[in-house]
Amino acid sequence: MKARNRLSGEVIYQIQSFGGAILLALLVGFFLLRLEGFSPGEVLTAANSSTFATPFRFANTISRMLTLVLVSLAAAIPFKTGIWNIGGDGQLAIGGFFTAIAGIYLVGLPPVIHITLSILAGMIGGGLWASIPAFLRLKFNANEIVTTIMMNYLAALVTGYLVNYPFRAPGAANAETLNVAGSAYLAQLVPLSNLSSGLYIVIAVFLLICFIDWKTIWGYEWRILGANDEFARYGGVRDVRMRMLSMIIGGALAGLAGSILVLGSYHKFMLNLGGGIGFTGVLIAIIGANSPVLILILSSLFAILSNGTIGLEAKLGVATEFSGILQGLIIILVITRNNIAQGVGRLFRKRKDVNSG
Amino acid sequence: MLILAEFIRAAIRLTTPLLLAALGGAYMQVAGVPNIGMEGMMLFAALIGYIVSFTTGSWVLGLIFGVLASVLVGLIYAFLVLKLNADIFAIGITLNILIGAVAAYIIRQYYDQMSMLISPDVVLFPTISIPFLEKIPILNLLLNNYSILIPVSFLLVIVTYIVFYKTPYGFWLRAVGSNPAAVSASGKDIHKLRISSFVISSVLCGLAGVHLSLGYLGMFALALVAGRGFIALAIVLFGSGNPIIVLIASLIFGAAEAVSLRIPTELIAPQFPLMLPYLLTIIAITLISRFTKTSKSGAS
Repeated sequence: MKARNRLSGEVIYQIQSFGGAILLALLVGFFLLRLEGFSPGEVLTAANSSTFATPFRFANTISRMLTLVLVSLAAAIPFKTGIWNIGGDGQLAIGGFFTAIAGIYLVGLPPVIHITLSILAGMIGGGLWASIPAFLRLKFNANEIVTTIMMNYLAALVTGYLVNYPFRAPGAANAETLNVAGSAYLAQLVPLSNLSSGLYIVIAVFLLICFIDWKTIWGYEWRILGANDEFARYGGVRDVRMRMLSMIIGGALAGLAGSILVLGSYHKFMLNLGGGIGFTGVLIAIIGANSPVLILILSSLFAILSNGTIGLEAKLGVATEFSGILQGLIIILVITRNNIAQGVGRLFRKRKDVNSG
Repeated sequence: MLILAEFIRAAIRLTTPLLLAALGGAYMQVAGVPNIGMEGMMLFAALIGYIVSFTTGSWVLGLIFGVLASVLVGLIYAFLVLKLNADIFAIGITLNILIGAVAAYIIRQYYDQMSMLISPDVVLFPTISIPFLEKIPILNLLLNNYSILIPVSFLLVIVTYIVFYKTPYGFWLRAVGSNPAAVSASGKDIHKLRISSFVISSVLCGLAGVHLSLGYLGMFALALVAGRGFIALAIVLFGSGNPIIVLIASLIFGAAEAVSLRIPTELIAPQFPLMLPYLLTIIAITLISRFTKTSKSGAS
């Protein structure tokens, strides 16, 4: 009973400090905008106009959240086992391209099968792309922070070549492929928005990841590998195999994010498909890798932040890049929250001592 | 012959940004704290240096403020890692992404530009010309009229070598990396030594950054650094911080980049040559690990 109280006390402290750090970052954001001459009321109204105000806006916010959940899990699952995957952007691009190719050329299939195959192609593409740095790390101990970032540049160049030359849509002004066949379209849930029935796929995948994480031996082995790999090996965890698996699952999820963008939002592959969202996923994974639920919450928050700045730009003239600054600030404050809390606590106690003495 | 000399010249020019950053990375590497934030340091220095140069009309001020911008990043990095005990990898990666956002915000908000910044008022770094070399065409082409930080970068290899292996400071710095407990026991302040390595490292990465915008390209772009911070990290790991090996590796990467920019696009789509530096980085980082099995990477 006592142990349980201590546990819930720890959980409550974590929620408080986590929430406090996020709140502090948002307050800094409001303060910076105040310096530019905008009141918090104006800021909230403007942010609301591009996130929740209309069904179209709300659908786009949800759509962004779904992509973020996938790319965050793509970084978080390898991270749990002690491997960095900064390569979400590259895996998303390769996955998106594979999906587009399957969507364009596998014609004459019933929609369900066509969509399934196209998505599988994207997940395989992302998983394969992730398996290269994973293999180099596990076989040759090659630093995966460096290799996954290099793989991002390579993915941009490879897909850049493919959509500029062999697969470029004839007559297209930009580097992009043809549209995928109608049988591969994911149904749009809100007219003209980016939100498609990919929503249900992401929900299913998310629940599956939760299940794996909480209820299966894989989830347990990932956690102990990340915590103490010597202990894990001693306990019989096949570390190389589990790490490889975690990286391939991560790559497949990033690939899936690309697939849903292609089949649900743009209906073709184009350069810079993810727009660097993989890095935002890495940020979320850094502070949220321990819990899929936390990833869901952070993805929602970051989706609101990045779509909220669209309204800030339209109404107040604050560049949308402001959201990136806020996101970075949130991560730094959350990482260092315990030390900051201790420091503040010490300051507080000192003052008390002075007052009482 | 002339083509070869021209190629060598291009390789030397492309070596400098990598060499400066990698030398910077070496100071932190030997002190046992890998610099994951080089990409961001370079980008911030390149941006601030460029803005200050075209605002004030002085390349000296551009150089100084660009380097100071990088040092600011280095001090924040050091504070978060050394003082608040945050994970060096997580903070480094976060800082890189954060600075990318800050740079994008600055050029968008204050200069109304999407991805690059070009100003006619910018004053670039001067080139150094040695009059007596002008009489010998080949030597003139090979050795003369380089932007100021290019000769400086090669001099800094020697300086770094001397600092590392011939000064007490270098001795203690390397000792902090290999055996911090012993350094601590002998009464030296590990924290101070490591903070100094963050500062020196960020100065050199700052030089690399301002060289990119004010010495090499004459413009700023969000894609200016293009992974050089991580290529430099690979170079540092490759040489485990030894400045001579860092020099050799930087020259190889500079040459590779020169090759990649010189392959005529009629022969092959431009994307393929551009892959060369990134492929080479992956190969290099895979090779070293064959020799140094002990070095551990990844989340800690």
